[in-house]
Amino acid sequence: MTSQKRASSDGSSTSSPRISVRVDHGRCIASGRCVRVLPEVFFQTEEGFASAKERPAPQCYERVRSAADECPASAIIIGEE
Amino acid sequence: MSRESATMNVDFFSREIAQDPYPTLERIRAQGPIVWNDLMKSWMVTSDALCRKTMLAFSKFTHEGTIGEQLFGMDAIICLTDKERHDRLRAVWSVAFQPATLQRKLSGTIRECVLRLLAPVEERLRAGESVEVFRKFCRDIPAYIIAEMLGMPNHMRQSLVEWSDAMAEEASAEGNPVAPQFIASQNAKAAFAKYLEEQIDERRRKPGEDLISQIVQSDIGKSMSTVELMQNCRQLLFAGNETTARWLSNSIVVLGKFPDVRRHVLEAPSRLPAVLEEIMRWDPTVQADPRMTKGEPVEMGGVELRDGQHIYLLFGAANRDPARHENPDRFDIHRQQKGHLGFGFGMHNCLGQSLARLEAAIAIGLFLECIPNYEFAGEIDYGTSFLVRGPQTVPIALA
Repeated sequence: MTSQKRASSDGSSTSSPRISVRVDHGRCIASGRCVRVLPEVFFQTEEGFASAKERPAPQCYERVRSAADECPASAIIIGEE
Repeated sequence: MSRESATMNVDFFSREIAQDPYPTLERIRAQGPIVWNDLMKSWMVTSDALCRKTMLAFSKFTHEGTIGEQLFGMDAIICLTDKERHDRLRAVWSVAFQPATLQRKLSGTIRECVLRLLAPVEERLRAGESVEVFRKFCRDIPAYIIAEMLGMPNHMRQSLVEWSDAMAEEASAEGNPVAPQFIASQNAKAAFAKYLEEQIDERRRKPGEDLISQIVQSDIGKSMSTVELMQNCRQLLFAGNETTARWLSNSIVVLGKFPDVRRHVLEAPSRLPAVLEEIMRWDPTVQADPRMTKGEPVEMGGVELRDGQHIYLLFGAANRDPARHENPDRFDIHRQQKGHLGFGFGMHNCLGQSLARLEAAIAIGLFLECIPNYEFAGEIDYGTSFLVRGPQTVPIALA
């Protein structure tokens, strides 16, 4: 039986899990890398820490995972829903 | 300098401050968040918030004109203030230093290195002898690994340790060009430069997979002179050497002083990374980051700083700032970590921090596994090194 993947209005496949992103300020060392790589999702707070838009658009997911891999302090936490 | 600001003269190169800086750091903090040191002719910052603010303003508070530039050269990445250039240069090596990459590529090598060094230590301990573990265990581990990453052959690793050790003493010469430490450091830097320039030339002709090849072959690397490339390679080799070795020896000392914490780790080894992180907060290796102000006057903690003033960011104090950390003087492995400055902050944060963490977790993990019950067999000595601080004589015996 083939699985049907319907495209929803935001272009995502409804069979892939949604992810949530946050930055752990207990680990973040303000390298600015995530902000540089993916400014659609990450931004720098006044304190210098990075923060994330909690629910990024699905087309950003791969880049969010890259940002998490590249974070020198392993401060980007990705949750699957 | 503002006449209202407090002054406290602290000798950063005394034995006392190296042995135990914390009473002094609290006396400095009590004077204010930024205090003038007339002996060192520099400001001292103990406030966590001010340290972070300073490190974020990387073009106003630079490493130009500091011991950093003296040691590494003005084209070394830590001295760069041009963000574009800095980011392009750092991007070349960032890939190799990503946590997952390091885990995958180097865990095996680190493990082998650690076990090889541990075997004779364990043997001597079981024979009833005492062993000094900084030189016999801690010191060579980071040197071995960074040398491997740069494609340096086995026979050069001892030189790497000697040259790095000599460079680490330069700060204590306090700019005196006839001090023996100053001369020894110049010789080490020159020997390092000569060796690295030869390696750079060779990698241009025959590129490999190592970090020297990576930077030489990168787009930005192709636009850099041999000297510029050398300064960056030399900085990288030095940076991960002394610092990590002293985090390792400090961890052995702290775990020796807190046997309940040691038992806690032995019960569940997955607890070790959090313990190592709390050691780094409570007693960091890099105690002082030297910066110099550049450009228009800037206000910091109620003080006006003009161009060309020296500042020391005191991480040992900032990591115990009650404004950020509850019961900051307490070594508490269960605390919720609020972020420490042991690996810096902002643009120049430690490139090698994931490597340091991996080395520490593997080295101390295996050390505890093989030698769970040790006690100190003599005086623990920190020498006179404060800027990069850690125990350099750690004699232990089986308990």
